[in-house]
Amino acid sequence: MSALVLMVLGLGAFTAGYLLYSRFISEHIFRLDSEFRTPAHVQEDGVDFVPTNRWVLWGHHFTSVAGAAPIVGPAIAVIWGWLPAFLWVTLGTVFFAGIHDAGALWASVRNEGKSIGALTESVVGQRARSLFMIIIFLLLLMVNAVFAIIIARLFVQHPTSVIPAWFVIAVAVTIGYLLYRRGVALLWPSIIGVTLLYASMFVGNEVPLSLPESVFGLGPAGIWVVILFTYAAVASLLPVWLLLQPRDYINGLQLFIGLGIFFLAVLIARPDVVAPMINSSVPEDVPSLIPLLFVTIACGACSGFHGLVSSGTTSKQVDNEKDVRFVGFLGTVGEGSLALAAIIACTAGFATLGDWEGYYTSFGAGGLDAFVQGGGVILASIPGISESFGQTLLAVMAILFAATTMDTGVRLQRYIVQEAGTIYDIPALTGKGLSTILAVGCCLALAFGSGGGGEGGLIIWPLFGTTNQLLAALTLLVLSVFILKQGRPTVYTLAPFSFLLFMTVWALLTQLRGFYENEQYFLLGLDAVILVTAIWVGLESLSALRKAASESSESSA
Amino acid sequence: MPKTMPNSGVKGRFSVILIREWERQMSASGCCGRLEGDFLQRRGERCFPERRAVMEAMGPLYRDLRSRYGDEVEIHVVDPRNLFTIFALILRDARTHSLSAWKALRTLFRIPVTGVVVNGQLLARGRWPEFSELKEVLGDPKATREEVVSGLA
Repeated sequence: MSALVLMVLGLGAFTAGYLLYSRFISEHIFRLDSEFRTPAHVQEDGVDFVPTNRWVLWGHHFTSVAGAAPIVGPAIAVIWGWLPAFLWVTLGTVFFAGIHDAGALWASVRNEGKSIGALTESVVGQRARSLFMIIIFLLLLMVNAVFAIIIARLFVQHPTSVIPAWFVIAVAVTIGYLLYRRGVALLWPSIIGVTLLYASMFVGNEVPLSLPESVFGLGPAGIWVVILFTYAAVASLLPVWLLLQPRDYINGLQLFIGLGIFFLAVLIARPDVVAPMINSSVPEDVPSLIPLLFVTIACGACSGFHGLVSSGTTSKQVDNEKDVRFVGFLGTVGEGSLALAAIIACTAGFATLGDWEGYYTSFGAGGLDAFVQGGGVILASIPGISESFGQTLLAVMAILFAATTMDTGVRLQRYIVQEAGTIYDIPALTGKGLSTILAVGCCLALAFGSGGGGEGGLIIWPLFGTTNQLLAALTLLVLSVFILKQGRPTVYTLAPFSFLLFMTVWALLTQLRGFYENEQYFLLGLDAVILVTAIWVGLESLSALRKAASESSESSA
Repeated sequence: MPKTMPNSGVKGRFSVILIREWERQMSASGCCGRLEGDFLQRRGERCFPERRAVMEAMGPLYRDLRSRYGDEVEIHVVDPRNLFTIFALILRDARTHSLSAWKALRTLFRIPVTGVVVNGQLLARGRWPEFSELKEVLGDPKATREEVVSGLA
């Protein structure tokens, strides 16, 4: 089958979902009201609360939710064949993520622009709020380890990406200095920065850099993990304007350029999908499709992170409540498109089925490597782009997203350690030095605790997806309780909530057994903690829904 | 910098674009780079204190504009990382207010991280102008303050 058909079907499903389902939800469940005075108007202060044009707001929202994760998940999940991943991305985007993201936005708009964390407390209760914070902590713990391993593997598989990925730091620091300290206009440094980045890709393409096979008993990926965490530790100590903020500009431009070039290339190349529709001969270590598919692809189908964005800043800028549909649902569609691109790259970018199988030799083995490999082949259909340059471009794009997240992740973990130091009166922990070492130490323990000298860390990915889905489930619970209290049908939020929670618990139990059998006790412990949290979410939901139902029936009586 | 805009006869509404960054990480960093909110809220700290300071410094100017001009002026607050939207707004304003292509391009290439664009032309860069400076360009509000306030409510 032509990948073009897959692209048209996917984009068609998103369009139909937006035109039909989102309209139904907006009119009958959320009952969006153009007369409702949004927090942007009621609390208008020109600082946090600002009524914003829906196109402007969509631009803010989409660039905030997109990232590396909607590429990684689908790239791993196509090992089960392209159909399951395609169905989960399209249906998940419409029936799960759409209502989740727009719902979080709507609930926040209806509750004075409160964040989903604060809403959890006010709508469900104090215990649920604690639960929310635990889930966030677990996500932070894993995100760094996962992304370090992803970058390390890309460096090993695509050594042409090493020079541009590190060179971009110099570019970002220069842009940061020019923008924030010299007050230079935005466009010139951006154009020059992106041009230099692309020039460095040409250099990288000619001069691939590989690490020695073994240093202190560590393989190349393991060494890269150590180097990356050293980098993240240093970067997290720098002022944000110097590196993190300018990286934001480069990433934003890369997102639009990369996505635009990729879909253009698919239109030109019209490659055939060589991966099987359903892979009946998966490698031995690949877990069962159900439930693992639903936690392997989180971002790109349904992601709890989006609730944080929707309720964090977006809700404070909604001008007209009816814009919730446009901004919330279409932001999700943007992310779904990124996941769709990843599926196409990983299934149609190979010459033969044998080539594809050569990449997907074990669970997590294909992943971003396959995305870069396959995507590079598709990009080569654009005149002037060679296959290896296309691969370098995609590898660098994914690395930039992931590295920026690592910088923030380590920074936040350091804050948490510092907070613990303050609470428990341990002065040594309140400073930046020891707290950073501890934060990075936790991440390294997780990265290497997964085995393989830091190289087998993609085993963590489903656990990361599981926790992300738990966050989404919690947001859907908040939404369900809120809707129930208003006496409206809850099936459209409770059904995805129940599905996600059920699949999450099932996936955790499946992985628990796997970790035990493989004697991966560190991951076993982590899995157990997440499992307890998931059960807690389940119990909390029963209690909250029962209470809300009785309140609703009392008020109607 | 023109003291008064060339289009004071105005075909369309006055348009003011206030450019400044939101205090959070944004562009494609992406779904996983936004965890700071709730954690830091508890500590009362900010991940991006410099950005926050810029946001808070813009507040009085925004409120002055809204309270004095109400709907006479269309105000957009845009994050500079949302570059494509800024482009679209400036090009639209340039067309509405009959600016030459050269002037529109000039504005595009001078977009700052922090600044003010009025009717497609850059008024201030790297600073928030005094309200009087804006008033000089926009002219006196047509409605009385009481009318504006009641209109906003």
